[in-house]
Amino acid sequence: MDEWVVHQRIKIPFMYTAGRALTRFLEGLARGEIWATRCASCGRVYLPPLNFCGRCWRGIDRWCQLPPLGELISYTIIQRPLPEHPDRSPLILGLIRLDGADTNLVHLIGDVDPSEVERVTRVRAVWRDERPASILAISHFAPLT
Amino acid sequence: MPRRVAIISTGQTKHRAKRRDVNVRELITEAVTRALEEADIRMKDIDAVVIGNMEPFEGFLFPELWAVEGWGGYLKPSVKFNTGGTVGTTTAIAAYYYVASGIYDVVLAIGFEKQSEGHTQTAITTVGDPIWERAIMAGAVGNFAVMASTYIHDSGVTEEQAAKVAVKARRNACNNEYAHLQMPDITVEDVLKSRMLAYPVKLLDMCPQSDGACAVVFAEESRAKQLAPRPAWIKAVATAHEQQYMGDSPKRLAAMRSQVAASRRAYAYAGITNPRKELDVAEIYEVASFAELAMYENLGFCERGEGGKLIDAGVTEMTGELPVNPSGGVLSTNPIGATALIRVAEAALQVMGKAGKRQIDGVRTALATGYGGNAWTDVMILSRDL
Repeated sequence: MDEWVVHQRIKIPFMYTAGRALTRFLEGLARGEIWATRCASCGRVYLPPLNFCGRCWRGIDRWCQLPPLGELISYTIIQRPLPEHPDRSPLILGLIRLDGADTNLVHLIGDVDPSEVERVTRVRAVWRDERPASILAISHFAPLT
Repeated sequence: MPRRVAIISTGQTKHRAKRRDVNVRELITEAVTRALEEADIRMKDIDAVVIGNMEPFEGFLFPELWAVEGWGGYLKPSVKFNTGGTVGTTTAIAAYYYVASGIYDVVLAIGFEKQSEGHTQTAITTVGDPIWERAIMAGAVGNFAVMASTYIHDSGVTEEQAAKVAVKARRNACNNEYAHLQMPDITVEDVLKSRMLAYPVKLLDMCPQSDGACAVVFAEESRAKQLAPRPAWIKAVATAHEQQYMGDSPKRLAAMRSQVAASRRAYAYAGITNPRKELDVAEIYEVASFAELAMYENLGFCERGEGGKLIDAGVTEMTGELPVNPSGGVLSTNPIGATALIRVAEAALQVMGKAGKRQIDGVRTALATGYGGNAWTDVMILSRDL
């Protein structure tokens, strides 16, 4: 007996509201600025920013600008990027703790050969010339030399 | 023996077609903050959280993780439910089970949906059997219209009678500050003349798509008495599901077996023999005007085939013997993952005497229902009496 399968493709468009805190964050990125928020209760600095600290269960209204500099906490090298990845191969995904932040950002690490990335400790944001209101306003993070 | 459980507070967002001012996380916080303030408790007083959403509609997996800072789930015992239109009642019933079991004393139930961010009708297409049905069927309206058409044939209800339900809902919604569609001047003629979607369902016969969230706090007996002046005690919960082939749908509106089974089970638990007399108000999950008429019959508010006469007689109006959906119902507000929890919250508000301009005088016993997929039913009965 033949084994039958039914092929289907369903297209669903999505659209996501940035919300109050991330709107301000995205507008900052378009200007080449990185804005975080700081919980007045626990002192935690959120990047990307939250306007509500779920741990303290209170609103956050303190904003602080962070420098485009930080520490490369960890990384991996994606040997076979998926269609959803930016089209660079191999691709270095880094976990970056910006100076002053208490949370980590995931972003691309560039301007370094994958075989050399193990030595990288400090990184800086490399801004695009044309900055969208998106995390992609930062092209990638590069080793700070 | 389950412990006694009550609802002690509720919170809702302003429900709208598009809440562009907030993201999902901020939307949830709006409802949760109101529920906690209403009970005058803090997040640390919540022992566990149950949260409900239909993630295919917004297209992100694990929204409860992404949004955790906004709903108090951080390191708390919690679980998510995803059961279609019944999400909200499933979540409420789960919160009831958690507290009734003795494992947790105070449990927060949350439902949310931001329908404006995805494409619900397309996502609903995946409800159909992938091999057999999806080649033919899509979305919710067409499937529903087949059921409504059969219901008209079997029961003799008219499009005018269904339109009266649509009018009642949108007018009642004017008394509800959270409701999405408030139409004080809507008439039966407006409904009948609105755009035909699929016979017999016209645009104004159908529920809207909304962005919104709802939160409800459940507590065991001693905490409930301590925290609420007049808690809404849960007298019964029941759920019933049945097979999902759409081809078996036509009779389901007029004789929805799951709704008949679940409601009769709940009435038996609660000692209710004549629901029309013994219930003071009902908040039911009426996806469309025709559904409400059929549900009158399924829920035993009237005999088979009498649903249309019930609306004609005004029995279910605000001033009637058994008001149905003083909130404006699903026909006025439909953030799917929250919709059934809103039914529970609104029933609780009526019992607690906190329903504001939509309050029915002297409510002691209230019914809330959820309707999911094609034939899932959840029922909860609330009472002022312990």
